[in-house]
Amino acid sequence: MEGSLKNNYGATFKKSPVFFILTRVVILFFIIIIIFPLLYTLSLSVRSPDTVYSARYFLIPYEFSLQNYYDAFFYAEERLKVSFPRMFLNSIIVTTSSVILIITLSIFAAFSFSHLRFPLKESLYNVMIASVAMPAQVLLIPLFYLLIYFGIINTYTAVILAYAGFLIPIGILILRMFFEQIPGELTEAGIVDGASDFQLLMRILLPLAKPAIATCVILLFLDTWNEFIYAMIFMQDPTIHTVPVGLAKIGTSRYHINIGTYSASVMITIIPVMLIFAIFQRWFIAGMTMGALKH
Amino acid sequence: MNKLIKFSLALLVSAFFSISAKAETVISVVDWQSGVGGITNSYADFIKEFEAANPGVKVEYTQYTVTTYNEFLKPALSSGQGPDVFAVYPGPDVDEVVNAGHLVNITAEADDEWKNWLGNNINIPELSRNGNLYLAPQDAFTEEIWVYNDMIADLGFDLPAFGDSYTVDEWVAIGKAAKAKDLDGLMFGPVEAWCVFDGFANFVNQGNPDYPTDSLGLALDGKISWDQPMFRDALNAYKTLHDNGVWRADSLSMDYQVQAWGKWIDREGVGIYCNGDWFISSAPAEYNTADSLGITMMSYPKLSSDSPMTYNKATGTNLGINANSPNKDLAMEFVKLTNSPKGSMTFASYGQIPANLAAVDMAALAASPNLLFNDGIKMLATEGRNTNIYYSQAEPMKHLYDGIMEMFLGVTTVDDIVEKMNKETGYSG
Amino acid sequence: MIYKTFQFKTLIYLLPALFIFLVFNVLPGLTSLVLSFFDFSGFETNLFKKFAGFDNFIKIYEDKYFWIALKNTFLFVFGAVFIQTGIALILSIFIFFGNFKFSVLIRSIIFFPCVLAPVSVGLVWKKILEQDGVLNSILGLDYSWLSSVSLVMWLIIMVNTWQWIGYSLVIYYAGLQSLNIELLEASDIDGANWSQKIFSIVIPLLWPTTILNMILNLIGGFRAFDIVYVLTRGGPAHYSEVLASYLYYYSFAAGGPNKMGVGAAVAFVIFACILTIALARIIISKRIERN
Repeated sequence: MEGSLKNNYGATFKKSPVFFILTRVVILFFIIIIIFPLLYTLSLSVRSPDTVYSARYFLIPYEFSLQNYYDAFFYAEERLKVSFPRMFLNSIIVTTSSVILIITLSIFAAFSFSHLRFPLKESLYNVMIASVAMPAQVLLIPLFYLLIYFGIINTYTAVILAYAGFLIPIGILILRMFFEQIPGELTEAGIVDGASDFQLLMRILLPLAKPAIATCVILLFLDTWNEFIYAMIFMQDPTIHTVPVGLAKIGTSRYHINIGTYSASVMITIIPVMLIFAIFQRWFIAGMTMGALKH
Repeated sequence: MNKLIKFSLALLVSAFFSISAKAETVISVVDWQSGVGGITNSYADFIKEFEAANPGVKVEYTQYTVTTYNEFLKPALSSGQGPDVFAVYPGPDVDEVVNAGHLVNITAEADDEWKNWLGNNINIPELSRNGNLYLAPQDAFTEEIWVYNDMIADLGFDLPAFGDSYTVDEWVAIGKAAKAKDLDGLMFGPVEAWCVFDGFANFVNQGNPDYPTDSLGLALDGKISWDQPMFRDALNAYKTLHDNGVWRADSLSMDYQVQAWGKWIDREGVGIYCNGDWFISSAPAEYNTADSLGITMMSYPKLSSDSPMTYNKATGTNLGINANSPNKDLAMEFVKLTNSPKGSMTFASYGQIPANLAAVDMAALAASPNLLFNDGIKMLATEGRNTNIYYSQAEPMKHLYDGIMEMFLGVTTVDDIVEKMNKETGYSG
Repeated sequence: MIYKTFQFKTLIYLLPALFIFLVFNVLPGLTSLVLSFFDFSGFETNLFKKFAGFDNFIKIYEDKYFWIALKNTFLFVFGAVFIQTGIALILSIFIFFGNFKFSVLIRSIIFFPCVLAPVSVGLVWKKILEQDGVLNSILGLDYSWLSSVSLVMWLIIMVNTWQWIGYSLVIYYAGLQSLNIELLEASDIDGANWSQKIFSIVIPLLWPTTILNMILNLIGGFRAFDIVYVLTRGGPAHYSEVLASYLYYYSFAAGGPNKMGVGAAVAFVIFACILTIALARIIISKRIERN
C-alpha cells in the first residue's frame, strides 16, 4: 500500500537529484546520531576490562569479552544488594499488575461514560482529561504521605495504586472514544435481544475494542516500565527496586564502578527492551501513534 | 475477561498482605553506610554476638546509600514507626529529627560505664541538642587528601612529612606538572556539598585569629562579619586551586563518591581531595600491602607555608534510638555493644576507626597489619587545630556552597560572596 | 445510550475507577496545594502543625535558583515544542517522500529510543559527554560540556530530543499517510518543484499534526525529571535545574534543604503553569470553533 501511495505523490520528488541526495545525507546523519550512543555503550560493555579505554575507530573493541556483564551482575548484588533478575521480576510484577488493574477499571468506567447516564458526567470527564496533562511530580509529596498513612509505602501496592490513580484517566479517555465510535445499531440489536448492560459490554463492545485495548496496553506498559520518580521514592526497599531505580542506583552508586561494568549494566536494561521492540515494533509504533492521536 | 478480573484481584490482595506479621522480637538497625565494607563486616559480628547473648531476639540490619537515605528515613519516622535504631545525618537533620520528637534522650540512660567508654567524644556537639545527648558515635575519621606516592615521585615532587601538608601554591605546581602528563592534580567531587564545605571550614580555621573559638559558626549565625581575611583567604584559596586547573573543569558536575573516587582509583589524578579515613576499607589493596604502603594521607592544602596545621576530625555515623520503639532497652543494649571496647576492636579489625578511641589502646591499634588504617589512627592522633565540619545553619550553608560553586563557574566573585553572606546571615555591623 | 435515565447500577461500573482516581490523584493534588502553605521538613508525624502563610512562596520568589529552574523549564519546553517538532517534521517528510527502500526500518531505528527508560538514556549520554568521554575524543577537545553554565541546558534538551524525536516523527508520519493526495497530484501537473511542494502544500496541510505534536511535547516538557536527575542532578550549581528537579531537591535530596513545604510551593507553580496552558488551549480551540 505504501509503495503505491509513494508513486502517486512522489513524482516530482523522485525526479529531483538534489532532493534525493539531501534526504540520503540528512537521514543517514540522524541514523548515525541515534545509533552511535547505543552502539558505543554496547561496544564499551563487550571490551575486556583491561582494554576498555582502547578501541579501533571508537567502536570496535581490541579484545572482546563478556566479563563486564558478569561483573555487572556481581557488582549489583555484592555492592548494592540489588540483583538484575530481581529488578526485572519487580518491574514485571509492578507493570503487569498496574496495567491489568488500570485496563480493567478503565474498561468499566469508559463504558459508563460512553453508554450509561449519570449526573455530572461531562464535568467529571473534563476533570479527568485535565489531569492527564498534570506532571506526576505535582502529586509526589502528598502521595508519599498518603501511602505512608495507608501503611503501604515500600510495597508493590504503593506504586501500583499510584500508577493507577495517575494513568486511569488516559485509559478511560482512549476507551471511551473507541466505545463511542462503535455503531449504535450493534448495541441496540443487543438490547432488543434482551442482553443486560454487562452482557453488552462483554459480548459486543469488548471484542470490537481489542485494538483500543492493545493501544492502552502498550502505552501503559511503556509508562509504567520506564517510570522512575514514583518507583524510586515509594519503594525504598532494595529488594523491590524496579529496573530504572536499580539502574540509577548503579549508575550513581557510592563506590567505584568500572566504565565497562557501568556500560554492561546499562545494556542489560536496554537489550531486553530492544528484543521486545524488534518483535512488536509495529504494535509499539501504531500504539503510541494512536495513543497520541486520541488526545 | 472474568478470569482476568479474578487474577488482578488476587494479585492486588496478595500484594496487600505481603507485609507479613513478625513473630519474634526484632531490633531493626538502619544506616547509610551501604558499600562500606568495614562497617558491614563489623555489624555482622555485632549481630552474631548480640543474638547469642539475647535468645529470641533477631537484629535486622539494613544499609541505604547516602543519596537515598532520607527518602527512607522520612516516611519511616513520620509514619510514627520506623526502625528501632537509626543513624541521623550530622547537621540540620539532627535538629529536625530531635524537634519532631523521634529520638530518645539518652543523657540519663547512658550509664557511667558507657560514658567512660566514650570519654571526651561524648562532648562532640553533633551528638547533643539543647544540652541533651541523643546520639552515639560509631566510627571516627580524619578528613584529608590522599595521594599516590609513585605519582608524586614521577612528577618530581617530595612528599611532605607525616602530619604536614602541601600549600595551595605547591598544589598549583603539582597540578600543572600533572596536566603536562595528562593527569589531574586532584580529583574533586563538589556536587556533594560537604566536599566543598569541609575544605572551606579547614581553610577558615587556618587563618582564624581567635582559634579555638569557632569563627565559622559565629559567622553562619550572623554574629561576626564575613568581610574578614580568614573568610576571604579561604575563598581565594579555592579560587586559586580551581582557576589553575588543579582539578579538571568537569569536576563541577562530578559527584564525590561515584565519579571522583572512581577516577582516582583509575589513577586519573594524583590525589583525591576531601577523602576520609572511612574509605580505608575501600582503598585499592595493591597500595596497602604488608610491606609497602603506596598512599600518603595529608591534611587540606595550607594557605601558606607558615599556616598552622589544621585537621578535620569528626565522627561518621551517629546512631540514635527511636522514641517510638517498643524495645528501647534492647536497642540501647545493641548500641552500647557497638561502643564497648570489644565492639571498638571489632571495628578496628575491619579497618574502621572506632569513635570510641578512649576504650582502645591507640598504640596497639596503630600497629595493625593494615598499614593505611595505622596511618589513619596516627592522623587522628596528630596534634593541630581541629575543625568542626557539622553545622545546623542549613540556609547560610546552602548559600555559601552555592556561592563557592558560582565562583568556580566564574559567575560570581569573592567580594560578591562576602557581601551576600553578610546579607543572608543577617550580620549587621 | 443504553438507559434513558440514571440507573443506580451504573455506579458499579464507574466507582472503582473513580475511587482510585479521586484518592490517588485528585486528593493528593488538592493536598499539595494546601501543603504549600505549611512549613514541614518531612520528619514530623503531623505535617499540618506549622502554618506558614505565604512564606514558602516568598522563599521561592526570593530564590534566584527558582527563577533559573523556571527559565530552564520553559527553555526545555521550548526545545521540545519547536526544535523536536521541527526536526521531526523535516525527517518525516524526507522519509515519506524520499523513496527509501527501508523506510520502515529507518522509522523503527529513529523511534527506538522512545521505548527506553529515560534513566538508561541519561546514563548512556552521561558517559559520552564527560570530559574524558567519547565526544571529546571525536572532536579532539578537552571541554567540560556538563559543567558549562551556558551549554548544560541545551545539552539536556539535545539528549531529550534524541530520545523523543521518533515519537513526533511517527505522529507526523501518520499525518502524512492521511494527506490529501489530489492536491499533490494537482501540483505535479502545475510543475511545482520539490521544495515548493514541501513548503506550500505539505507543511500547511500538516498544520493540525504540528499542533498536536506541539501540545504533546508541551505537556511532556513539564514532566522532565529523570533525564535531569541522571545527567546533572540540576548542576552545576543549580544551573540545569528544572521545576520538577528543584521540587525534588527541596523535598528529598540528601544534603538538600529538607523543606517539603517549599517543594509543595514549587508543585503549586507547576500546577499553575499547566492550568494556564490548559485554559489557553480551551479558549483558543473555542475561538477557532466559533470562526
